Amino acid sequence: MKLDNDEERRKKRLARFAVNTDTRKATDKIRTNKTDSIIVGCFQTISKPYMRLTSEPNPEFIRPIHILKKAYETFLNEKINKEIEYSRFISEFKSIRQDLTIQRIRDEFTVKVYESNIEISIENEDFNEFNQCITQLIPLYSEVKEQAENDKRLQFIKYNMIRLIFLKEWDSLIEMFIRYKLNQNEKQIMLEWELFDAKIVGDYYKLAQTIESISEKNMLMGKLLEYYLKNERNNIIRVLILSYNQLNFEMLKEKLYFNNIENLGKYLIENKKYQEFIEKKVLENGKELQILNSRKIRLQNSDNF
Amino acid sequence: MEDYFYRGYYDEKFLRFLIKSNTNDKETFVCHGQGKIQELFEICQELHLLNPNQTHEVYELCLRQLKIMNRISETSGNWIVYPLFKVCEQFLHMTRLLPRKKKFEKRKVELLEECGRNIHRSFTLCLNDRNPTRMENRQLGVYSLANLEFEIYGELGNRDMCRNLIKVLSSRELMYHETPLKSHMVKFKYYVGEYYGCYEYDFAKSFEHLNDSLMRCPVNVPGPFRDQFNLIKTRILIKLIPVAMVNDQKYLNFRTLVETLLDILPGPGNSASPGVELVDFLQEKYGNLIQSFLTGDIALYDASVRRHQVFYLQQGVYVAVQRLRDCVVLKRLKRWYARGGNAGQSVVALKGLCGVLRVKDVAQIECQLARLIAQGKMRGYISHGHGAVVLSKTRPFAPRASAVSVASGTSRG
Repeated sequence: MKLDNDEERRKKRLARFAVNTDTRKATDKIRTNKTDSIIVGCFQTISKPYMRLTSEPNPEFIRPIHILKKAYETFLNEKINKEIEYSRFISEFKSIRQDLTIQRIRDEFTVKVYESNIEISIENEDFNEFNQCITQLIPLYSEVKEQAENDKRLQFIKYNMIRLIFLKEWDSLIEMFIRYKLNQNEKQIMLEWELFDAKIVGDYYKLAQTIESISEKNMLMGKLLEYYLKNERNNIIRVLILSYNQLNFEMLKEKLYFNNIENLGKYLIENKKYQEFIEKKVLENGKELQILNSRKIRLQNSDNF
Repeated sequence: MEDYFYRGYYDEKFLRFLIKSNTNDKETFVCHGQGKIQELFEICQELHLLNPNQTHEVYELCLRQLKIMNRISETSGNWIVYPLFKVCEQFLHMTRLLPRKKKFEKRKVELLEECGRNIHRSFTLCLNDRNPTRMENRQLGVYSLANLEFEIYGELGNRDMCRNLIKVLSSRELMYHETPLKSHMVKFKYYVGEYYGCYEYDFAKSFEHLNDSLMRCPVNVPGPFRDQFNLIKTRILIKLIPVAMVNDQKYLNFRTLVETLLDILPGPGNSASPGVELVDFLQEKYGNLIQSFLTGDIALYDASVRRHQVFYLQQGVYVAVQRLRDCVVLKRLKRWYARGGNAGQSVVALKGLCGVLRVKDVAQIECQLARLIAQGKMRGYISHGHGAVVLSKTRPFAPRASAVSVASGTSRG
């Protein structure tokens, strides 16, 4: 009796393998992470301020593609013509991006939305938004074939390169450089490569020269670089404090990419708390010079220097 | 078969039963166990019966095998670690084979990610073992399993997962600081060193691990394995050479390399040996770089970097090579100083250094010197107003570079 039970249990276990003969279909279904149902919106109002999604998206409040295209044209033109503030613009565009994402629309129009968003965000110095958009745009480029040969995509790729250089995400950057080099297109990104080389070693002289060359060609690129340079200043001033005994303000202003002495002063006092190290030096010709006593900084902050 | 699990041991026969091979050798087992062990037995039996061309079916069985091994390992001692590793290795092998079939071509990334998740489960089982008895604790297996994960994340280009893995291992107080499987430790140290050097740019840590990896490689390897080990050593050296130079000013002596590491003696009659090709390869990629580092030849350095730029980029050593430039400039200055270029003066006009460093702009010289002083490689300060650098009267330059000491004695014999 016991043997029969054992035999029966063994047969049942073996039968487990026999039940689902077409294992491929079963496992394919199990493995599919994406759901088959795609939402198609039916909301017809052009304007829809952005609201964070906290539940399942409702198609009644999602705009279909033709409405999204109208919304895009409307709000982009209004922003360009200064009819709306940046805060309104960004709310509408985030909402357009949200609707595109929910409906899994990833085509040339989506690329256009992100590109416009990026340009306006840089113009308005909203670099968080720039960051969010560029990280979505770059993967889109590999999915959506370029409609016509133009420099526009290259421009955004360069924005991304600048971002990667200063955020020190160099392995992604290096992959891009390899592709350009192997395709013998490195001349297209020559300045960005020089910027990368300068950043690797902290060569602020070469950094300044390259930044000037890049900014001359593109105003938006100049704004982006200005944003990242703010952090770079801390690295540069550290090198200067370690290697000079005193730093005159004119020289410092140039090396730290400030437009005027007042902004330099503000940075040294408010950011770096170097009030007590700012001195006045009188030259032989009677001229007064404002200097930063870096030797004193080193002596008083020996732990940091 | 259940005997292995009850007595807590494995042998070659057991391993051959777990792993599907294309040979006709078949192990005969009987299983009187129940539950998980019986299930494992049935999976292994079916695995051996399948045709190697039935890639998808073999893959599915390997996945089931790994899952059941993970469940069994939860309550097993550390004897299970190596069989578990072999099962993981087999599953990874099948994950790489499956996308060769047209149907699974586009799912390569998805399959690798799933493989990574399953192997990580095995890794976690070993890592989180709280058994206080060292001889039974499964933490012994973390290094071998981590190697498989590093391979997967390398193929996926997922640096974040590598970082998480290294973080987890360095934050835990592990019972085992290494595995007795020497080749696994060589690999582990290599991956960690590569991560620090090529992604974190922490060349001190990178040098420590890569050098350790190289020192663990055996010398005087018997015939059939010599070429395999030479390739491993070359792979390590590709990363280690620039890292050693930039981190600690250590350069590779090629004669020492040839004699001690690649197991061949320099001289005629060895041109046919594959080891010679490897030495020639390293010499071609790094010879001029090392030469420029030793002589301060900036032009040679720039030419070498231009020529092998793609290689350095592809190997992830481009940042290290770029940072080497400061060392080359420093060497040039040291040689100039040693030849009495400053005419015994500690105050040196920056304009005068333009010719030495072959640079036209004084501002560029100023920047270069400022960086060398800030890095501690030069002692002195710059006076912008006087357009001069004031060098320290006693030892204005850091100590000289040294050749890598490769024959530390640990791997000999």
